[in-house]
Amino acid sequence: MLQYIIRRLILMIPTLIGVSLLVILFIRLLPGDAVEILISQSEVQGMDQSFKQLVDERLVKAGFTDPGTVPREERVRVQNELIDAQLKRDGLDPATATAAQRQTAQNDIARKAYGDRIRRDIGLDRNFIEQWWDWTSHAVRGDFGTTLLGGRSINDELRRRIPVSTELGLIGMFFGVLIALPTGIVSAVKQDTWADYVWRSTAIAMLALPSFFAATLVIALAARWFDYSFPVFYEQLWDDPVSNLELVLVPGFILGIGLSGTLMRLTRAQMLEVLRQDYIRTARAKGLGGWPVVMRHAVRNALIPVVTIIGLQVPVLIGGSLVLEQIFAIPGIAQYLFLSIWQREYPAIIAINMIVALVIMVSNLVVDVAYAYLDPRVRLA
Amino acid sequence: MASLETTLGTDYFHAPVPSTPVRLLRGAWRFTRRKPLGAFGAFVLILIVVVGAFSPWVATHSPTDADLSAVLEGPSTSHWFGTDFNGRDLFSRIVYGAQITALVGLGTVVLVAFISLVVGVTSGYFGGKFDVGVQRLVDIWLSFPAIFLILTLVAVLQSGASSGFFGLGRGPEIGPNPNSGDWFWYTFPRTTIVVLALGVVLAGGASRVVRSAVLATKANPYIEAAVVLGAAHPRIILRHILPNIMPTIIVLATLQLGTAILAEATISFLGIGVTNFPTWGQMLSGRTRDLAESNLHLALVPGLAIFFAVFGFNMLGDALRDVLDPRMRGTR
Repeated sequence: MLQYIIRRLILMIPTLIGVSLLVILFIRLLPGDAVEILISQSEVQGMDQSFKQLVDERLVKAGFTDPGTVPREERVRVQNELIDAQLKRDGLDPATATAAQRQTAQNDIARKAYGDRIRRDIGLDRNFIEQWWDWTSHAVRGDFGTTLLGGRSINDELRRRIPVSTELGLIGMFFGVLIALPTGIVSAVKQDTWADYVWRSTAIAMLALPSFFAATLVIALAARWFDYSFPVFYEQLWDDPVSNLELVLVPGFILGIGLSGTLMRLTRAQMLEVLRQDYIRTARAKGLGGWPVVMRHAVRNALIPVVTIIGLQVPVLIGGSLVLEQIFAIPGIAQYLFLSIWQREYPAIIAINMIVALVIMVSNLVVDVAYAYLDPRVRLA
Repeated sequence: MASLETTLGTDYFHAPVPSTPVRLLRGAWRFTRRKPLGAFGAFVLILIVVVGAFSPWVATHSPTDADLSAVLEGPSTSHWFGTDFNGRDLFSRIVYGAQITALVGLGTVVLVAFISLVVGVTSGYFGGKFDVGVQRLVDIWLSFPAIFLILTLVAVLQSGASSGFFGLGRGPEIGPNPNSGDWFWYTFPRTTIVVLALGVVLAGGASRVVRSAVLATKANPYIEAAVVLGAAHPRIILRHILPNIMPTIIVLATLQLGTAILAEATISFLGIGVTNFPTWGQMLSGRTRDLAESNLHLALVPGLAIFFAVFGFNMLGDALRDVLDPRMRGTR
């Protein structure tokens, strides 16, 4: 068993390499003017910052060890030098240039410096393999770099957000199982009765219910009927459990509804399969009553594949939480991906996709191991 | 002596064979009686395609023109589904939104079928080391939650402002004039981008299903016979494998139709995708959520449209699976 786990873990490495190559390839696929858009979309702050950085670099080159303590006159002199050079390049005379022309020149320098910085940060100034290696060698040490705008640490952000998403996912899984198992079992035991038809139709309806529609309805109806509104700010579970659960339970439940459709149908199918087995007939023949047979003999055997499918629903959970985190303003990892895409924070997009891929692969491994543990007939080879 | 006919009743063997349309109609009728919910799904599919194709004639109002004298009205005889916060007619918006739903849904299904066929058939048919390698790649493919990959892909493909994806451009920001016939070209770039992203992402899981169907078909003696008779690989694949996995493909495509429409609605809701045209998912986003408390129809109309479309396609897929491909029962 241990050997099997180790081998699976080793097999994970090529897959992870493939995933990282793929994600970085997406970034390379960006059309040529993407960096320009990034600049035009981001705030002026980023450009001002780059200009200041450029001046700092010049000052360091000029012999100042700490740019922060440089006298103001010196800084202004270096700034003017840069602007004069740009004006000359534009074919203007620095001596007669107007203030507006100087400002334009400064903006041009800042824009170019900012563009260069972004290209360097994304890695577009190097070839694909170099960029990939650079990213990977940092990532394996647990360093996912900084955001393009503001230079905040992506690690910190992930550390804050992963527990939030985990909580939401676990609550979703809990509700999903809570709904799916009883209905699936009842549906199978009472096959082809009205209860079966109702639950089966409900399960398919649950698969078709868009979570954003359900969430919108819940928020609107809670306000309409009970004059209730959900907390606006997320509180950590250990800081303020009541407020935390108030915010997370309902999206967790909606997440569970989406999950329960698949699980319920599978539970029903497995129960029907098991209920036809000989040992069930034997148990009945021994004189055992209806429900003890179902609960003791059938359910325990039927649940083995269901457990594995629960594990395989992890991508569904993570994907489903995207919309719900967005609507309920829960600061989870899926919301972070959405924000990053919106702000074109490519390092963050790469990091999140990699982490999620890793989580999914590990959960697949756990599923396989759990399957072998639950069902002794399964041999891991 | 009594003729054979009178002894056995009707002579089925010599009965005239009905013409093809009649047979199809009879088949459809039998399907409707046996699987009423599946027939409901087929009806929804036809309805969406027809409404989408003829939306200028079906719609009662313009889907984009604001009418500030009729803001946030409930359903009435002049506005069947009511109006939104800009006084736009919700019925007409649903009707025009059906265009995007139909285009994205059908386009994605065609793309998914194509990619998953190429990958699944080659991987399953040729087997061996090639199969192992391809399946490792599919592992990578499946290591992302679909919606993450779709969002990332759409964002990457849409990131060029002027050139856009392969020079397709993004199309104008503001929706089309419904009276002109240009809506298709207005939305074409963004629809294409969404279809490409959805198709590529959903094909990963589908290729696994195709592969297993190919493996099952390959084990049949008639494939062996074809090999012995000296048939080339293309002939075996096209003449013997493909026809036999067709039921699986049809069922798969129907089920993917629901998934694709749900995914399209989700990214539209998030404000990505086809943003320059009224779509069902988009109608649920933005101010709808704040206003839904006092104007429930604002959320109910697009939400139920998406719900019934996806529900119908899932039902149709289930029914087709029971009729066409008993092997796939209980896989989902």
